[in-house]
Amino acid sequence: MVPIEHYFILALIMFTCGTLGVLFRRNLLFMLMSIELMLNAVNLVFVTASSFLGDLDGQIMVFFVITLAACEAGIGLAMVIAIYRRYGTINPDFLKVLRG
Amino acid sequence: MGEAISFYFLASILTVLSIAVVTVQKPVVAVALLVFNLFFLAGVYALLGAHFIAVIQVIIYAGAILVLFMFVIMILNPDMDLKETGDKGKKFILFSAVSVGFLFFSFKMFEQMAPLTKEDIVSEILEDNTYEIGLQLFEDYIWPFELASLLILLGIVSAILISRKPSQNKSV
Amino acid sequence: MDLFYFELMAAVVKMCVILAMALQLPPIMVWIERRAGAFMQRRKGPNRVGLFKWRLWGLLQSLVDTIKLIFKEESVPEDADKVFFHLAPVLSLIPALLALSALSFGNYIILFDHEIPLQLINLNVGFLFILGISGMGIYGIVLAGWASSNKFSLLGSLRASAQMVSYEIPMGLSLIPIVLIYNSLELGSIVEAQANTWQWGIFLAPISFFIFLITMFAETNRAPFDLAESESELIAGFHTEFGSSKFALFYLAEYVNMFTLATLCSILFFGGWQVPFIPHLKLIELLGSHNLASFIGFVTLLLKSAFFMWLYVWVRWTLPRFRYDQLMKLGWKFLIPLSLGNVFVTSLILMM
Repeated sequence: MVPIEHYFILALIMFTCGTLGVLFRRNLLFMLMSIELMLNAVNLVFVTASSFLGDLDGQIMVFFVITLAACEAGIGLAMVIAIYRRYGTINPDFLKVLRG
Repeated sequence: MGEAISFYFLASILTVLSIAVVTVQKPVVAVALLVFNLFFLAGVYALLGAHFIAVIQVIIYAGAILVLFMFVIMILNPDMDLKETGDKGKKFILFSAVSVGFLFFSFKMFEQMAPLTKEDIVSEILEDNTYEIGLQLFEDYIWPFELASLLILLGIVSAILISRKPSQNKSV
Repeated sequence: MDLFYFELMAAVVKMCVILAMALQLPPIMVWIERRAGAFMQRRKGPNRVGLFKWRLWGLLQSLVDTIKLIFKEESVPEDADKVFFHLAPVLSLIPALLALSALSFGNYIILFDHEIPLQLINLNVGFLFILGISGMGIYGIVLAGWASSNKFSLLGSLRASAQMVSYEIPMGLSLIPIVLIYNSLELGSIVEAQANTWQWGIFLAPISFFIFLITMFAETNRAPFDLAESESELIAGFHTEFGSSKFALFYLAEYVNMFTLATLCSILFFGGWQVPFIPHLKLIELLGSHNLASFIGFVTLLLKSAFFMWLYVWVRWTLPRFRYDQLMKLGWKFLIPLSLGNVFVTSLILMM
């Protein structure tokens, strides 16, 4: 039987990849994808804990996280399209209208 | 034994894919890899006995959300400004800081977690739990569930509102 | 350990049978489609190719076509994304074949004192698995259109992905009444609950069947919803640039998807492997043999899905193609509200 730590290490690796992606990629699409990766790492922790502790609450939480991710992806991609239409780029370094 | 082999196989694939998703150059490739990533993650869920969540993952994440990504990439020019901007040195410092931070937190986490692993873990993994999930979802979690549906509605409306072209007549 | 090897062998045999069935589909279906189309348009259709002096109604035409397809030269466009261009046909075929594995083809048979269910994997999430896996087939189409760096292909794949995503919703919603009525997600127990012919899905949930039938055509990109490959507007859409065996793989995937949905439809709405008016248990009594009854059930299921395959052909040669805005309007403004209302009404009736 695989110890619970190994599942958590896998989740940690995925979460780290996602964080680094958000911090380093200068492309809004990649940043959104990295956020999806992070959410999935969180889901993995929830499911692991749920099935190791014999409690279904974790799996239901995954259900809500997926709902949230769907909303986030929809609105985020809509914003990407709007930004691309307005500024012709989706590189966040060039989007500094609000920076003053 | 079979479970361990499957898990380490899936875990190694997932690790490689997660690294590839954030390092690859073309957005389309990244989305395709992310699809595989989520698909194999659904495999891990199935391994953990969460069959319903695994299928939900495949239907919603891999089958719908990432299609949206694909869609947007195809609507936009796929090879647009891929150049990475920013200061190299600053990035390197940030990278090492994040990595060290994560290592630190992971060690902290496992220290804290150690007593939990011994006592509370149930021996057999829950199988065949679709029915129980349904019951819990509609009894204990009915209000969060309703709120989630409101959130989805809000998401639909705002996505349309944000992404539509500004209309020609000013009356709208 | 003995039992383990026995089950492993049974699984391998089942896999081979399912794969063989899937591979037999396109040649037969292509022949039927061409002949049927010809008869509906008062032509002769392919009737020449035969063996020596027997013409066999041109039955060997598809064999010859297959050989031609395999030995054709493969061309790859210069600008194409090489990796995804080669990967796309495979990506569309694998989910199609995977979805077959969860179908329940019959009750169990008894061999050497072991019960072998005629279903490759029995998941407690049942047909949700099939819906999810067949939804993955979108990526093959999308990547095919994108990788071939051709405007028409890209348009075709965009159309296909939008269409499949929007029609997945009414399809999933139309199956909720079935789950509510039969109280199960497993295909096997749904079929067992339909022993009485008047308790078939079509009689208990006719609106669901109506919606499922429409979305079935839309999900497989078949006429009248074949906007993804409409040859008069997009010159075959996403598979314009694909030749020889890659095209054959797309074709195979399309027919396997059609077969999966046709079988799913006959399982959920037409009693699956239940022979009409003879419940399975009674059939076992009548025949006195478990295996024979299961075999007859299997044949019944195949006949039922053959009817739906024929319906695909029939509709294709009868109805004209939709316009794209009509398609979207039908999906979002008619089918989704109708299926939501259907769920509401069904649960209200079941509550009372």
